[in-house]
Amino acid sequence: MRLRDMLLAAYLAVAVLSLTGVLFRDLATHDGLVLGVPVGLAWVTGWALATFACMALYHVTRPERGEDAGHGDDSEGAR
Amino acid sequence: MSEQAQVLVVVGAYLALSLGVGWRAARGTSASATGYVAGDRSMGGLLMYFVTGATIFSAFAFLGAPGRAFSTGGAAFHIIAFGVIGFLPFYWTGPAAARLGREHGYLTQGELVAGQLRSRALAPVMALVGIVAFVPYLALQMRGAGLVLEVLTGGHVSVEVGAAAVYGVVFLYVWHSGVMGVGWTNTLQGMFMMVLAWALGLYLPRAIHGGVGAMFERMDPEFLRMPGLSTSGEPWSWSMYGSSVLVMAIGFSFWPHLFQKAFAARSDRVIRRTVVLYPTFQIFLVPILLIGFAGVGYAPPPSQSDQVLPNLLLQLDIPALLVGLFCAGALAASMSSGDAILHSAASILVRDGWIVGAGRELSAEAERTAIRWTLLPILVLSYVTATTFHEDLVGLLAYAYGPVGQLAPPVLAALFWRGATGQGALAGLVAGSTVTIGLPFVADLGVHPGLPGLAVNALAIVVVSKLTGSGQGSTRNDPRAPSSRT
Repeated sequence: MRLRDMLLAAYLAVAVLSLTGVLFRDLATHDGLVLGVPVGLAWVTGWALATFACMALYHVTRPERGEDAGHGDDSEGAR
Repeated sequence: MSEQAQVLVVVGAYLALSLGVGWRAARGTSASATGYVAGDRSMGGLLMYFVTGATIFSAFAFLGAPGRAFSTGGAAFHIIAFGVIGFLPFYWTGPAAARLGREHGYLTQGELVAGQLRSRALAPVMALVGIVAFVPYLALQMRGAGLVLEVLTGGHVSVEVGAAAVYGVVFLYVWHSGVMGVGWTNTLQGMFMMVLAWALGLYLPRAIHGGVGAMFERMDPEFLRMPGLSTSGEPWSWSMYGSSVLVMAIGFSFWPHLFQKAFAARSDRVIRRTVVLYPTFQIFLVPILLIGFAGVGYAPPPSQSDQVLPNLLLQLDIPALLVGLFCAGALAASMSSGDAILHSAASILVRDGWIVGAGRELSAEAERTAIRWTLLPILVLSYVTATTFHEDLVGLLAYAYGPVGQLAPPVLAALFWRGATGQGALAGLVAGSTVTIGLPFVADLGVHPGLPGLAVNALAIVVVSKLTGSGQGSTRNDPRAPSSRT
């Protein structure tokens, strides 16, 4: 597994835990986010922008595999 | 001219424009099934971005999402949350599916899985699961369109008449132009509704509360507390919130009509760039939620939470021309999903059900004709559902995501696991769908029923594949050589 794949996997793990609310539960009461709605809006918007940036970085650092402009084929892992 | 008449003129102009764009889109594509279903595999980046984006942002986005923010507070964030990560698997599954599609002539998700796993029975079962999810989803779009027209015309146009008129237009351009009609109208509709969403999302909080900040300051802090309320008004549990986000995220890119666009893309690069850009489309939902929050505390409240946006527009002193534009924006959201679902459902029924499942041969022209005629019964079934089902829109969509999520394990197995067998995928699909649909009638585990369904599904695929496979993996080909048929 390449470094870029590991970094993306780590990012996605944190994103999933955050977006499903697991990371933000109030540990004392197991109830309610620390974030209120205005901040919560920034929270989900932030994840959208961060995911875009992260995927863009992942995409541009992708090793070239001879993909041409039309009907290129480098389907990673496909059997 | 009365205000209602002005609204109808604007809506009529928008529908005529959509029909014109959709009708002309057929030019340049072949008369084959590949042309009608996959646009001769020629879609570029712009079309793919709007097809995938606008297809997902539906009547649910313009009506259900504001309604959810209005009625359940912080719970509405799950709508953005699942979309942020939901399309990412397509970065890998999309190009893999596209390559196999080019090699074997696949045009649908079911064909791909059935072909790769050498199991004819899989295609009709996957088609059935897809249709079970498609009908409520399409019904949701129709009902949304009808609701908007009914409310904004003061009841002069009923839900039934409005839905029939709007979907009559959709039927015409999908019938004539197939996926390219869907693609170009979605591009028009996507741009249109993004502009309107931001205009409304910034205007309404300012007009009603004096600004977004002031709007939140006036609200009850408990209402804003996560994870908010369920659609029935009860406090939503964290387990339901998290599992709903997870199930909807997993199901997101496996919706057959969305997945099918992999076969329409011009290249793998186009698919990957679309996925990279996709989270930016989620930003479009922020103003949508602001619209819903703007309606909190504004009297009189709508009779149904889905009607919060049209209700606000009627209460405020807005020129009829603008109300008509907003109405057209909501219809654009409905149509941009409804057309893709309708087109996909018909092609899936014919190709997965009739050609692969029943093993029938059709010429390219006969196949296109069969898909066109299949549009009608799907439209009628969805229309009946739309006019008889009275739950809220998001609830209807959440139901639809349960069965669709069950398509993920067999598709992933067909694409990436050489040890998977047709029997395994079939067992997983049947077991997972049964659990997802049946569990709510038997027990309440406190999580979205799609989650235990996915666990059972994946387990069944692994166990049955191990029991029925050769253990050596195999090179799987399409058993019916579909490339000769396209």
